[in-house]
Amino acid sequence: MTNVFLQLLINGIIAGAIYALVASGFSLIYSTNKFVHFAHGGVIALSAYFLFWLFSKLGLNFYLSAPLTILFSSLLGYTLNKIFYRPLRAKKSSSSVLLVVSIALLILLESLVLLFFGADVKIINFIKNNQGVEFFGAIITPSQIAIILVSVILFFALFVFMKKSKIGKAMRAVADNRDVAEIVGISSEKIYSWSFIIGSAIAGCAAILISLEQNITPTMGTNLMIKGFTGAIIGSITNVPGAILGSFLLGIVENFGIWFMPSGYKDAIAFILLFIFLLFRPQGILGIKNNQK
Amino acid sequence: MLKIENLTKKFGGITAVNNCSLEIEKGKITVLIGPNGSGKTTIFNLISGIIKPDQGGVFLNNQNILNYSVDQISNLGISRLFQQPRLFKNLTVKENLLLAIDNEDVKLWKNIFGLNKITEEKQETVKNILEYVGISETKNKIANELSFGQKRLTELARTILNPHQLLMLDEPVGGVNPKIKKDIAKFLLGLKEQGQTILLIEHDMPFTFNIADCIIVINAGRVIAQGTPNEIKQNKEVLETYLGY
Amino acid sequence: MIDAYFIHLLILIGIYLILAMSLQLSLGYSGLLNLGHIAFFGIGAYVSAILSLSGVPFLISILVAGIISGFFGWLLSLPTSRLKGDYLALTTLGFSFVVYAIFLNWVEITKGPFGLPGIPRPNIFGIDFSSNTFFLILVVIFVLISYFFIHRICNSQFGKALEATRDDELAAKSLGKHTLKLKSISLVVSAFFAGIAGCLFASYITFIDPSSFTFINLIPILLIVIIGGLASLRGTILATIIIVLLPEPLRFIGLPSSILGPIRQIVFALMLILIMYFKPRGFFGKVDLE
Repeated sequence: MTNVFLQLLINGIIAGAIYALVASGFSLIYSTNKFVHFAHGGVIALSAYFLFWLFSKLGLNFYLSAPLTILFSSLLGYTLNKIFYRPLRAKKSSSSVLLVVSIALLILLESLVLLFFGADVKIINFIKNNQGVEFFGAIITPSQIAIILVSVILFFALFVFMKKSKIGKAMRAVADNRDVAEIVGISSEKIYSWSFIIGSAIAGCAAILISLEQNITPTMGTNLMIKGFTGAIIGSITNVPGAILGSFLLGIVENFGIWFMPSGYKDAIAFILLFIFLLFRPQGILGIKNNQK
Repeated sequence: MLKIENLTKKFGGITAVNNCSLEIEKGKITVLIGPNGSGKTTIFNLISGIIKPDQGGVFLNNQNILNYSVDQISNLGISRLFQQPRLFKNLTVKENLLLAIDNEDVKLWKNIFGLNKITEEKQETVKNILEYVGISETKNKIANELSFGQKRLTELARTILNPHQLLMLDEPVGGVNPKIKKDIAKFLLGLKEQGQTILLIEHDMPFTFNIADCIIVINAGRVIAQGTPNEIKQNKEVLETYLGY
Repeated sequence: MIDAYFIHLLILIGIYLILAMSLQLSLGYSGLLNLGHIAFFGIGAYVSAILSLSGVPFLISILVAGIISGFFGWLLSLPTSRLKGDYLALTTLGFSFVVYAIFLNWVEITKGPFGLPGIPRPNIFGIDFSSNTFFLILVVIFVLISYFFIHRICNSQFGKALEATRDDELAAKSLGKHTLKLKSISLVVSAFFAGIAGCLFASYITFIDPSSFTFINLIPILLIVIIGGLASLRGTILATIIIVLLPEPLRFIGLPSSILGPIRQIVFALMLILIMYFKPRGFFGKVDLE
């Protein structure tokens, strides 16, 4: 007997966990740097393909490929900041300019993926998913369980890091008020770099977990980015817990939404929510209103 | 001409304007003075329609203008100069000024079919005001490329060209050199002679005492003193508030 | 053979030119970073395709396509009027996602991912425009009409009022300009001409599907407006020619299309990044992107 409600809820939580993985890294970067780093989606996509290359193409052990992938994604994020964003920031480019450049970078990264790996779908066969586990009338697969468990641990670790560690506190200081942070001796450029390293490391984890559960496609970056971004906006783009909360909400609303309408409109639900929140509550559910310049 | 009654505005926990009432007489130059943060610019913003008060009313010629938008209030006859420079930086000085003359430029079809030309009369008006404030040579320069003093004068010219019955100038001589300060004092007195009504915010005391007919002293969001320059000079409370001013 | 190829390129240049000029109006002159502009292109394409497929004469289809696009431009302008910079960009981007989702899912009308094939070439007053040469003449006429209107708007006092709104909206308001109305009109006209371009596109290719109207397709247009220079129609014209022609030599190297596509995107993306760093005002622009 299938419990539809519970199944939708579980599907929603899983989707939410995936979006939250994307959103947490992204909002960490946004809150620190104060611009929209759209290319974050590209980092996820490229990392997923990197994992594929190591694990499926080169046959490297998964427990070696995964950490290497995280290393790769951190490095990629750090490099993007160093080569592209930092020089523009030095030129006092507006955040709109950085937004446009980040979109261009997203397209650049996705096109590189298309170029080197082709358009067809790739799969990472690490966890056997053909047999789901029954759970009070709903089905959940092993990789989905893995996603939920690992992401919760990750979020908790991130929370502790932001609250307790020196770098985490410095990041929150810069996010709050960069000028004051610099006065007390925090180098904002260094913090920007760290935010990209850590945010992109989370992106790497996201790539790994998502690839276990879903197919890898060249446009997965854009799609995930839109969903993650929407989740972040719904919760609060300027604080990471808010982004995570918003993403889970998005996942759940999406999945319950298709109870009422054709499943093709699932994405449309996200877009409409995005549009509505940007118009009426851009600071998100948990955010504080501040003046839009 | 302009009256504010019991105006109150709070920002979070801070009361910027506290039950403030004052009246501006027609044909005179009135100057608001007061320490930084006393609420002068907030009062200006409340009059201009940029922010709405929590309580109180603003009356222009006895008409309540509280719920009008910024552009509507401008069209009712209040022309505002801002404390921060607000030129159209990518347009030339001439283009900046032409925009002030009328609002025919908002009519799409009139402009598409060439019915809103820049007439000889408008060209003359621009030329004259530039001569009056002494920056004729900047006419075709891009606003962003002017010196600070030239920018201020351009903005002043633009504010004057905007059809008005009341000029509201927020620190018109803030940051300009002494020569330009003298020129601006001369212009404002000249405008008064033509019967214009001017309301200023200023920190420069010699400048203020030179041109003001009436000085209103603001502190902590309300009027603490009001009178002619001589009366104010002798007012003990004002002197206390302005220790070191 | 070579003739036909050049005519094809000229037609593409014409269509992109109308699309780019319309974006220039809202972005360069009015300062509205409308990242959803491609949605208007798509709305124009779908509306005209559906009408043409139902037998509606071309001149009526194209006009209706423009008007309906313009209407959506007006709809978009209402809630976004008080947004600035990033938030405006992201909201308009969200708008284009919603429109794309509708193209993809409203299968009864748009046939979803299968698209609409067999869109008839125009037949105006008995003249058949199936031949590309004739179609080019049609495109040129619409380019001239679009250029006339957009040029007149931009170079008139109305255009100055738009630029004033872009440079300092509060100052414009305090001179009595109704900036909401100005921005609305700008988006409406911009959307109208994007819709016209969409109709020409649909009639030319004779087949449309949602994939032509994703936001990635906006990148070349955005690139054109930025490289040409914000608030410069002259720059837009030059940049359109360059951007349309630039990827063409790649065709002759004999690379498969699965490689050509990504390379074209990489070139555009890199150009956009480089321009933003080295010459953010483009060739003829005098205005920065805020």
